[in-house]
Amino acid sequence: MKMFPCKTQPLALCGMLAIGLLLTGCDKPLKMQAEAKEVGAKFDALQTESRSLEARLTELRKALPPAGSPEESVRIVQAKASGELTILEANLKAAAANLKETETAVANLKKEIAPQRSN
Amino acid sequence: MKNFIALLIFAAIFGYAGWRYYSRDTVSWIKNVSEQTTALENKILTQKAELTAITSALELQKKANASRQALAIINARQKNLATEKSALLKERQKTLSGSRQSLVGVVLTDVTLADGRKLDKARIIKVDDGGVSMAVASGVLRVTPKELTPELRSYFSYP
Repeated sequence: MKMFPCKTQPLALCGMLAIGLLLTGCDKPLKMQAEAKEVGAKFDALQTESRSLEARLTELRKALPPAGSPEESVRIVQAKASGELTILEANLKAAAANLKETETAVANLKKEIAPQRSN
Repeated sequence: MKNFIALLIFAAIFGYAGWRYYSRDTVSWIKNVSEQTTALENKILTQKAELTAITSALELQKKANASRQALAIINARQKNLATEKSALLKERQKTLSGSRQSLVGVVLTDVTLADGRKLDKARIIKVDDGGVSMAVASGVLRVTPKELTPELRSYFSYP
């Protein structure tokens, strides 16, 4: 018994296999192309974000004092401002208490003097 | 028919090979861009951290400046109040001196001091912040505000 009764049968089989191969081969690159497009778009978006951040950082760094590195500048500003703020807050509290005391004293004096002024 | 099938097989093989070749390039490109994307993501993370640090440091500086301004305002108000208080104290002192001066020469009868001492007739000679000098039968008596009864303290305008 012949495996292939017709001579063209193996060729036809090969042809079908080739078409299958072609179809699966086509599908994969298309998917890859879509993935490449997506990866490219993500990269572009990130690059834009990075540039915008760099521009903002450059602008903000101008407000910092010059130091060995930007991190060092930030550390200096933070330490200085934090120390100042602690002292200032304590001073503010004391000054507010003094002010209240003086205001009360002045009000009492005014009250005390008022009848004498009217005489 | 045979030729057509052979052509189809060749086309499929070359087509597949071509696609594979193209895919290989694309795969390598995707890998490369993905690596760059990862590096860029790391860079963005660093930039964001720096931005946060700078913003918080500048915010702290802004807060310190605001506190300095508030303190300056309070100090200015305190200075004004101190001037006003000083003027009021002077005015009170002047008024007190005037009213106490008007008491000089007045003769008080039946005066009882805080310790119970009784003064029959006491003529006021001098009244100042330190106390009252009075002329009594036995001579001149100096009485401090503490020695006066509350009514007398009020009469001589002592607190």
